[in-house]
Amino acid sequence: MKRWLIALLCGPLPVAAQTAYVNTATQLRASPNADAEVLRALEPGAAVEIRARQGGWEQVTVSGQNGWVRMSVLQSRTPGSAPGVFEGGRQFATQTVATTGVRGLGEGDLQNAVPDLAAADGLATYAATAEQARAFAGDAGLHAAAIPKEDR
Amino acid sequence: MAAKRLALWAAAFGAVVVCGAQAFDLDLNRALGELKNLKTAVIGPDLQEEEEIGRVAAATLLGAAHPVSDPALEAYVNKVGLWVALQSERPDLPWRFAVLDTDSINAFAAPGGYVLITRGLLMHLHSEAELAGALGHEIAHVVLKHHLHALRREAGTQLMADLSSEAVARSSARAHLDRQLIGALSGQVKTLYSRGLDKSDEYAADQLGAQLAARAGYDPYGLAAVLQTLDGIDPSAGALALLYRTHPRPADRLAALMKISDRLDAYGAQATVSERFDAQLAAFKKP
Repeated sequence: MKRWLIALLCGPLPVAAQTAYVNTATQLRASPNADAEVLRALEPGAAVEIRARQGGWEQVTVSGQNGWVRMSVLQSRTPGSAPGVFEGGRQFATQTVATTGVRGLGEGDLQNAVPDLAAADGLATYAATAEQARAFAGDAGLHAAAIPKEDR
Repeated sequence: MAAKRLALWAAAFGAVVVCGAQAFDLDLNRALGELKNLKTAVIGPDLQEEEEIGRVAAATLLGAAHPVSDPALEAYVNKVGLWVALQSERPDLPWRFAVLDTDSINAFAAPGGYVLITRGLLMHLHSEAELAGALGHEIAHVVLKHHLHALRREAGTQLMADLSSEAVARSSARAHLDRQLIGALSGQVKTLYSRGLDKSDEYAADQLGAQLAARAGYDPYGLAAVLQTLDGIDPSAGALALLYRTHPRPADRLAALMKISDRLDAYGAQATVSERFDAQLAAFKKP
């Protein structure tokens, strides 16, 4: 039970180092904070290595320099490649059924589906009770957070 | 339990109506009106109708993909999901969660408290906080009644009226819904779930979903991390086809979600619970 509690206390969450690209002009900051010192400007397309994440910030290394950027300014796709391909999802509207070799749930599968009411009623089998859910949360040291005034 | 209570009340009320009719030649329409009021007082017609619509919507999705046959995993997802749903404005719905046995990467919500996540999406997650965020998005759709409103708009008043009367009939004796009615509603469900909700509904569900996960004590950025993962998956592989067809692009959703980062940051650094998640998935992968 204590094991899960450790996750509550840790700082940045280390992630497997992966390359990502800056998708909008931004600044590399010294700490995960919008008011933190700016280390350098980053241009769209700049490649960075992701080291860790803390809240909505990613710790990255760029040209040997460590710092933090907002997670929304990073993408793992090569810049300029994909957006044009699936802009607005239109490209995929015509090929939703093409899932050869994949046991998928595409539009075709949905259109051909015969409603399975017994399966829907059967979902109640695994439903948890509120007591079970609370005990389960407690096991991991999870508590319902007081809603901060910023989020009311 | 609610249905049982309703049946009991209806039986008692019925007896009064019959006696009253003999003695005072009570108008039948008035009696039916009274019965409707009584039903409203006990469980509410809206909730009954929502449950019927949700049942057919979930049944349609389950007709396309079955749940995985792993009771431990299903129980785990139900506990995470209910813990998040308990933080919502509708904690008392009969929340039911399931993992669909498909490689496609997606998740679905249906009115009345049904939430389905695909094995394909589950396998791309890294922590319980990410699972809570993904389920939170679907829970938000139910709480905000997005599919319910869309189906009510599309289905037309006659279908809804038929469904309501079927729901009343079913509440006392669990009779089968009329086959034609199921077919008509299921057709509307297929159209909606192939076309998707309004983009604004998806952005609203991201926002509330992240907030619900945060209120449950999880890292508020679990959903954001999921969107970042989705953005990195090659969409031409096909597993994301339906998701892309029905949702704004993950990068756009992430950018929109980050606009409320002040509200998410206010929760501070919270738990990701990745160890318990990893243990559950490891047990699932090698049964």
